[in-house]
Amino acid sequence: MSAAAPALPVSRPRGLTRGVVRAVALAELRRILRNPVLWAGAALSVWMMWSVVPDPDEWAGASYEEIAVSVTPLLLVISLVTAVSFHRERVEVAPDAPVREGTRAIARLVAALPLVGIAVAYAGLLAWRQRDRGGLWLGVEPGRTTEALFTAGELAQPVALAVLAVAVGAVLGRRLPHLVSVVPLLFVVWFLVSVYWLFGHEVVTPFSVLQVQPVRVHAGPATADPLGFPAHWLLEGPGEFSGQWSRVFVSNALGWWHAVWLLGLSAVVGAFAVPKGRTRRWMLAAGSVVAAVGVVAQYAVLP
Amino acid sequence: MTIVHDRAGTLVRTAGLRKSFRGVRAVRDVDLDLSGGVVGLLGPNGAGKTTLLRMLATVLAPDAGEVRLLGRDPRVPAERLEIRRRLGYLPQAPSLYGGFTVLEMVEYVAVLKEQTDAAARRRDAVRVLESVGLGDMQRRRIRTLSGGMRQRVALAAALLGRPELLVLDEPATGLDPEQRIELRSLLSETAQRGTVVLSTHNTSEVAALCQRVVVMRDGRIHFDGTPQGLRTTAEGRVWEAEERDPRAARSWMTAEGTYRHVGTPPAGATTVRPTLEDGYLFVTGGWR
Amino acid sequence: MTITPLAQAARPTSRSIRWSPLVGVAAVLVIVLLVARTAQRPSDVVMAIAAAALASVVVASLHDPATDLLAPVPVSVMQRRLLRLALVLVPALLVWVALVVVAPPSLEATSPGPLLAMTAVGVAAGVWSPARRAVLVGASVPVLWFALDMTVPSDVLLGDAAGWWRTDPWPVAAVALGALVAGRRR
Repeated sequence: MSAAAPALPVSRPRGLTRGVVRAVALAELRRILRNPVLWAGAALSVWMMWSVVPDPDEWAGASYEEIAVSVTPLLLVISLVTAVSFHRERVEVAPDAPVREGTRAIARLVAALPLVGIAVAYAGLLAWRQRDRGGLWLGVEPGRTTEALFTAGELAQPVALAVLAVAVGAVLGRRLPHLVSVVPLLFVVWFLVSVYWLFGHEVVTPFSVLQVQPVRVHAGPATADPLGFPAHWLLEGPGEFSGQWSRVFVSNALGWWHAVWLLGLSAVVGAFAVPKGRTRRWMLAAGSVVAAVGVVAQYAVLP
Repeated sequence: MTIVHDRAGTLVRTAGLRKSFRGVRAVRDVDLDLSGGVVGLLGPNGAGKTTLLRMLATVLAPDAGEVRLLGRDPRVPAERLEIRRRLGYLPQAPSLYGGFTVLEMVEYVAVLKEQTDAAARRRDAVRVLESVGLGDMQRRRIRTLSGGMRQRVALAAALLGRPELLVLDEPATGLDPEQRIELRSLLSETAQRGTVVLSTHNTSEVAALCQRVVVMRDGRIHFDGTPQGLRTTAEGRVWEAEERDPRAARSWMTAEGTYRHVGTPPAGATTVRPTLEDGYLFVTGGWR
Repeated sequence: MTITPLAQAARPTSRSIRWSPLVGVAAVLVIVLLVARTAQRPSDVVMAIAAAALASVVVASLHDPATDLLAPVPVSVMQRRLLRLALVLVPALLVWVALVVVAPPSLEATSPGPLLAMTAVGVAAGVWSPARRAVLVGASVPVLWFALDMTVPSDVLLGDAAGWWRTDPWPVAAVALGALVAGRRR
């Protein structure tokens, strides 16, 4: 008769799980940071930011809007390097190992966090650059030309977008069989997002990915008397692209709630990068709620 | 050591063949003359076997040296085309289209092997599938097959058109013992009308199948002869003892619990008859 | 001589191609152009993105998982590439036509020249790249060139050259085809 073997623990101790995630994440992070594409994209974004110089001949708010778009290459490469990382999960490496796919996916997500850190640094640089230039021209008629700086809500957007970029890259890398297919898809996603004026309408903007303020809200027909509008409104007159008087709306709250929408969207998108199960369900549920709250709040903030 | 030098019937001839990858010399000055039969290519990992086979399959161009396959020069496009019409190749890790059925996959390769008559192509595809034991799996999707079955699909594709030169990179990978035996008889049949060059790590396979064996190490050929010749290289160099002998070049514990040694036997040691594996270990160990 | 095998291989080759990237890219572009049409916004930039993205998709379709198995068949790798290219380029051009139809009437860039130029450049880059990364490099070239075009100021020589694929697509395509022909044995 043999002695009864001691029962094996059903789950791994929490501390051990943390250690495993940290170890896998560090290994992934080293590979991510070694990818020259990441640094090339970051450099391109910074260069684009530096290239934005207000020009007296530009339309009101051109440089203010343009500088927000300069984050696009950074977002593209964040998605790309994350996709490369998650694509490795498609190769069956040590399927018998006690570290299951879910833990590995979490570790890869953790490894991508420093990419969000790069976006934080980028946002900080953006804030500094705007102040260094003495603000960007948000010149509007009548008689309210101002040099404006991004609000904190607007500066939060590159960071929230980086979270979304990680989620998009994770899903495409994990779900597409060939990495080569990821390139055109990410390109389309991020460069179409940069055509921000397509998504600037007050109805569409809460759902947009890259929300570029100011949002132009209908104020009155072209024949309206601008002096009849409330004095604190910033106005834009009828012109080449608009046959009406518009209220030029810049809002810190709108920026923050848009960031909330982006984080919710990131959770929903990122859910498909982790295996089916509780984590995915939780991400989908929580992400949907957060995204919905973000959208509703934006509509509430918009005039 | 016996080397076949039947120049009149030579199907594969290489002279001074070299290939490097980013400064790493994978194949160095390889001279070979092969004329019919099954030739086994043995060697440790990184010995240059796959690189040599890829050059013999016209997939990889050598950096230097000459290759003649089936009497033609693969560097000349028209001659390479002619070689490819009479060549079958099984790569080390063949990838297939998961969405195709077994028959569709093999027929697709047949099309690209210029089998343009649909009826004849179908017959040939069915023939090769039956020959690898997949006759009843023709309608199965590739993605539903086991690793061994996929290996056999790729092998079937290599056998299309009854090639005169068959280049197989570890063909027995993933096959069960019964399939291995079937593979042996299949390759022996193929060797009746041409040359089969295969790489393997399995010396028993070489002993059972090959009339000739080539052992590579560090990109060079260290032995070229018959399996019997390889075995005799270790004659008087293999002994067994109760204890591990630290002076032996290689030693391992056998199933009987004794230690088998290869190297220079100490005085008084009782040598035993070497196996092909002993010969291989002796050659790759560099003690010849 | 190899026309018949190629014609017979067309159908199975088309089945071996992954169409989801083309469908996905086309769907996103159509939606965006519909938004542009509804909002009466200019869409030339969107069409430039479409040209580069479709070119990237077409080049990406050269990825063949069975490359190793098919390497020594008499139908050469270049012929198989051209077959794949033809099979994907035709639907890509149809997508282009559909985008032109959907785009706002103000659209000026309706010629498929930039798409063809970028495709030719991508394929040529792939042909001249190391085999292991050939398709990835080729598919990335249209994306990188577009990014360069959008970021380099047009008043410098590099900026001017970066825009050639849009402004002078046919000479760009001709040069790329020349590079392709020169590398046909690779």
